[in-house]
Amino acid sequence: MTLKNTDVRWGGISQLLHWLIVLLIIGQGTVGLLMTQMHNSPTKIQVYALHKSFGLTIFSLAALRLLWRWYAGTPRPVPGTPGWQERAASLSHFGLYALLFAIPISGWVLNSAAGFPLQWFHLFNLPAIVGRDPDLHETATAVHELLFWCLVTLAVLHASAAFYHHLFQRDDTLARMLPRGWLRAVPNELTSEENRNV
Amino acid sequence: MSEAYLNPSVVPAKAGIQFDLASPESVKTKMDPGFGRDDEHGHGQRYFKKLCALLLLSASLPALAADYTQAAGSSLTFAGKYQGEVFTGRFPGFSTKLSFDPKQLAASKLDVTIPLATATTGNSDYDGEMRGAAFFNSAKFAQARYTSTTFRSLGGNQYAADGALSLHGVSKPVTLTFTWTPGAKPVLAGKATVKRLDFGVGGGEWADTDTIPNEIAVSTKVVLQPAK
Repeated sequence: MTLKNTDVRWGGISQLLHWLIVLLIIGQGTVGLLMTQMHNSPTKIQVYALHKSFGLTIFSLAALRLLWRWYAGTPRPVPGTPGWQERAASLSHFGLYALLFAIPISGWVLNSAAGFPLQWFHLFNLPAIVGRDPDLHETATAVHELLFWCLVTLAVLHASAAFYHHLFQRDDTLARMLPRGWLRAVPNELTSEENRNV
Repeated sequence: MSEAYLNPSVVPAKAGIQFDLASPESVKTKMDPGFGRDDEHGHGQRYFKKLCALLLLSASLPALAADYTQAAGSSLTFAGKYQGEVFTGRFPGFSTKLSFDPKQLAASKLDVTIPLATATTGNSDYDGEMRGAAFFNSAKFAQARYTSTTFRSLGGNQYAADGALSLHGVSKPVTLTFTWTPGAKPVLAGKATVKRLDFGVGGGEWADTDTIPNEIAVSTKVVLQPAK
């Protein structure tokens, strides 16, 4: 597996970052929705602290991912993809990246506005980015959750499109985001595979 | 911002005439301008009383320390570390009664009452929990009280009071170390460490000191005025 992206495949680094962030988001979303129901306790404090730590991790990984994408390039859309699909995909990728930044930032804002500390896995603290403000805290909390549901919506669209490509278009769109050999696109006709592998 | 809370010893000395009671010469010299009548600050009467006190002392009569009550500009704060950050809070409405004389430590006494239902960290999420049943339980224990009749000189203007703190239904010894800045309005600036778990403040699951430390730093600056 090459680390760098090629014209036809995502390399190891991009794949790792993609799936790592997928896992972290699933965990963060689940915990984030449940933790607000907890009664005040040291456990709740620790769960929130972990949510913040993982959120900051996603934030950093998203930045790393964007830098890597800029350096390593992106595969071209699989041949035969209609123009509107290509544009829709680009637009949703842009939206997904924007949310990977906007959600942690809104969390940072709501945390700062509430006057809570922000610590990364007990290792170091980060400063508040806004002053204490109960109204802003409330607004940012609502925004944080709303943006999360936007992310869920876009991610479902994104994953559906990938499955559509894999199951119905029978192309490499999904398989090329996985290590070689994990998933094979089954062509409709043998000839179409030969066409793709030009 | 937290520095001020944590370093109560940094208290500017109050301007004003100070007596060195060991030296009658100094008393006399300083008093001459206003002796026997009220100057514009109304100090004369007080100096006269102090001189009387001095004379009484020299006559080996029972010791009397000067009585003070708390004046405006006083503060009582606490601080601890939480998730890598110092949090601070204060006890508004605390009230101090003090009888103190550096030369008569045996006759000195301190009595401080501290309302708990108004204790605040400035963060409403913390405050609700802190005043509630798990911590201060201010509904049941509305006040804390610190009393001391045992004072030690630590040299210079530093003293220690070995007193007792009643908090949350528990009474335990707590030592308050302080600097004493004499003057028309003397200032007591002190520090104490209170182990919250000794008093059952935040027991049960909250006893976990990784989340909230056991040792809470208490700082006070009490501006005093002679009791009427």
